[in-house]
Amino acid sequence: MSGQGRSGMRVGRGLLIGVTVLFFAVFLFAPLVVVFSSALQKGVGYYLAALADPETAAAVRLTLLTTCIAVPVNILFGLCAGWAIARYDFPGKSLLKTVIALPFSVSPVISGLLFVLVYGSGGLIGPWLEAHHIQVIFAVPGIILTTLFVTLPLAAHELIAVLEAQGKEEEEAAWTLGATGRQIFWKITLPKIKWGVFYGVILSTARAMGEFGAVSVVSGHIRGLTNTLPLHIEILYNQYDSVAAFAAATLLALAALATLAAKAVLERRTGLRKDHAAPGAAAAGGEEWTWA
Amino acid sequence: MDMGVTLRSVWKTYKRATVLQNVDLDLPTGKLVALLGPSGSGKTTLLRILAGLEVPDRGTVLFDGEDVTRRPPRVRRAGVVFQQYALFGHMTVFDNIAFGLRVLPRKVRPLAWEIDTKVRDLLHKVRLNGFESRYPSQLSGGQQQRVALARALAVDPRILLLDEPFAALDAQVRLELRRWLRDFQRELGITTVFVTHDQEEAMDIADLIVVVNQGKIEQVGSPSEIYERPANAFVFEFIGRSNVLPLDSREGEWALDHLFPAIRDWISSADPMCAYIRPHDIEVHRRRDRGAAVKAVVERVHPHGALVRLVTRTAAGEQRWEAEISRDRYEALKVKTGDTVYLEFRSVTVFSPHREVVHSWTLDPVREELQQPQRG
Amino acid sequence: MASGLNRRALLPGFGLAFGVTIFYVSVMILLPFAALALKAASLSLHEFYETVSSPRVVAALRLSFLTALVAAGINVAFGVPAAWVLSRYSFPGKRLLDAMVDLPFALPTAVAGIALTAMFGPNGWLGAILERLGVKIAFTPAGIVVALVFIGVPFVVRTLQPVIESLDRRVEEAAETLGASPAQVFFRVILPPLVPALLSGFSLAFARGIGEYGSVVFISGNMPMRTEIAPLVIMGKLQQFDYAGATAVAVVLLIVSFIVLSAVRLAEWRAGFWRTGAR
Repeated sequence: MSGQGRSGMRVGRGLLIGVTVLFFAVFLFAPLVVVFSSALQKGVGYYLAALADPETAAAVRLTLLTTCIAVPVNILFGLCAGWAIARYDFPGKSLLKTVIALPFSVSPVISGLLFVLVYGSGGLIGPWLEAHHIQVIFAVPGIILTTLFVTLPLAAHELIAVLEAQGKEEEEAAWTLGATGRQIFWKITLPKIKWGVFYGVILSTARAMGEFGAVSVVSGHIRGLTNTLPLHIEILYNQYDSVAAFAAATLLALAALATLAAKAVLERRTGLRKDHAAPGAAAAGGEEWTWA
Repeated sequence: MDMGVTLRSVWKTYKRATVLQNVDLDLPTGKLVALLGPSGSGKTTLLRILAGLEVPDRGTVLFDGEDVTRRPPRVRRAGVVFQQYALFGHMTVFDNIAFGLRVLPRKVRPLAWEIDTKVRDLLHKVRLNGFESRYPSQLSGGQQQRVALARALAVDPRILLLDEPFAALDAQVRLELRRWLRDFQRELGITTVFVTHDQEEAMDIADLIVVVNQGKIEQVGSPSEIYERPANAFVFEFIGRSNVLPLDSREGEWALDHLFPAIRDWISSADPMCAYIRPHDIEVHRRRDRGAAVKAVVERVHPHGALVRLVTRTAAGEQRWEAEISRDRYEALKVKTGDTVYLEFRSVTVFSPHREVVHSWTLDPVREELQQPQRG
Repeated sequence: MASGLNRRALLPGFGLAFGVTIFYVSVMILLPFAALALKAASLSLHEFYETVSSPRVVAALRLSFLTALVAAGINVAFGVPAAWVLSRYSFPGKRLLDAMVDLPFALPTAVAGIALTAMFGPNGWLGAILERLGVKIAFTPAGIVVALVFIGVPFVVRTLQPVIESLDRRVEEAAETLGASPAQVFFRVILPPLVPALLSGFSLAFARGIGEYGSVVFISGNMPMRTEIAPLVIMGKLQQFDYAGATAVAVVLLIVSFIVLSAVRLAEWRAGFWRTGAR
């Protein structure tokens, strides 16, 4: 290779890095900066006062409640699905994987619609629920159900992948050494996949806290009662109280940053491949998704 | 009393592919048995059936006369050393070895100090004293294998099963470790089965070799039986280097007329036969001093330690013969590439390559005698 | 199940794990989709057509498809250099950039929506600059594209990254020793194996873009016939309790997403085939 070619490549490298940095600056960093700068536009005092608003606090509580239910349920489901899919052969296995990934490929608004069609007044079991005075849609249960739906594939996909990557040799070894099913799970499987579980928790938490479109359909937007934090932000913003909206948004932005940091640390620690960072892409793309 | 391990008419099919067909096998107590076969022959499935990790579609598995076919591995007490060892990566060497004792139900579980004593004893036996607090990733392949062995032995297994135990090791360690395993097994006296695709490994240490091919057992015997009296063409070819002469070829016809006319009568044209000759059963001469020698030209010379391998081709150019002679003989002959030599066959085995009918004759033209045909 | 399982010895726990999985999937996924299918089946063909072909719905569908297509294209154009830079070069701040790729996944869409609106709006720092140049972003289709570009970044970058990392650099070196120029190396050696991943990244970003709601509704302005996207039409129908109409539009969107994602799977399958075949 001639010296000219090499220096040409150096210029190319600089150019590519420049383009990337610019693209990231405009589309990723700037919006994040805008969230914080807009929230602090009227000073720290105003920012703190906005956060202390009782309706904001109620929204935070509902978001936390939803997250605290959705994440453990999905992890438990993910463990079951992962164990069944990664450890056994059964007919329809790849169909099951496709079905589990389905919520990824559905528009959030349609996700909400699906639950309205099941539990709403004109829905599949809506009339029965009404007769028994159980309200799901436009109430907290509906919010939790839709959140479960949109976050369902995240942990499951992660845990299926981790368990498949691990192979079943160690479990078989433990089995030949006399371990029971419970002993195999607690002593062999869980210690090996604990980082995968943690990863699943991070991904589901981020999505559960931030889901907007689907929850918006089923919530009914009752202030102080059925407003999650993202819905509350929308209301504040539409009332032209944008500073208060951004103040509330900083809470979610901080959670997002914490998620990214935890993910980055975890990936470096465990050597998980990055393709998993795009769970939506991964699951929608199919089962051939690779692991390191 | 029916002792040892027995398989009776075992069948196993995966997704319409038959992996094992009608396997019958008796493994005597205390022996070191090699399951030898090419990859995909079904030998690993056979081992997994013994371990209880697979259940046969049909047939029975007996341990000391007791039917264990449907007993899960947990209660079968077969010690298994997996191919990549399957050590528990998040546990120390000590915890790995102690695992099988610690998962016992509380009523029969040994006390902590008893477990401790037993693990230390095993560590000593597999020569890993001082390694108890290491993690598997901090050990060499050979050390990992010995941990896996100690872990399997901790539960006092009735049978020890090893899946390709030496495949993951360097050539040097492999040789050392297999001799060690051989002695160790003798000392323990526990029935041990190992899977291998390496015939040399099986020949070197096994008491009994089970040759498996395409889901069927081709032959069971001691290493010398297998080598000296292979049951069929597959075993002959798998177990060592061989020269193959199709008897319906032009050179084959010539050989029938001039070299082994005695078996002319056995050959029917409907059933093409081949003559199999080991390289070390070919004697090389400088001149045609016996009427029945084959004329050939040396193509290549490969010195191989105490032996020299000569690759030759007959004058007509159709048949390749590989001969193995001692270095002394080679030096006496002074052959080099391009020289003409005369080959003498000391032992010939004739098989039908058809798997359905297996006839074999071993003849020794030197002694001019034809051994009885065997039916396999 | 036992016969289907080929009478294999099973590690314990299959019954429990399989039972829970099937139950949960049935209640959480199959039941809702069954409800949608039932609702869709209850519509007459005429009703369905009337809804889907009304000018406002057609305009919204066209807008959603076009903006998603343009945004996915932009994502590919910037995603290729970004993925290349992140997998091949090392420079200060690279790890930060790499972590930021996932921001659109982690940041709630509503937050992204208001932040992008504040940024590109007439009073926003970037919006004001662009306004002076005569370019309007917020409350135009361009604003929708901006939001969808944000959402689509990780799809293209994260799909490409592992493929670029798995490229064997010796192949490039071999091409160089054979006299190829850097451009030839890129277009003849590096690019071909990336094409399947590029296609699937593009399609994933596109499929996500069609359905995206939260980040778009703030910046788009939601003017019927001009900047109203298809998911918003569904939302509007739901707010009027027109479940039949919402279902009809949803079915069209779902079918398109399904076709796009099937194309992805096909592309990936062929890519896998090609890769193993090349080995």
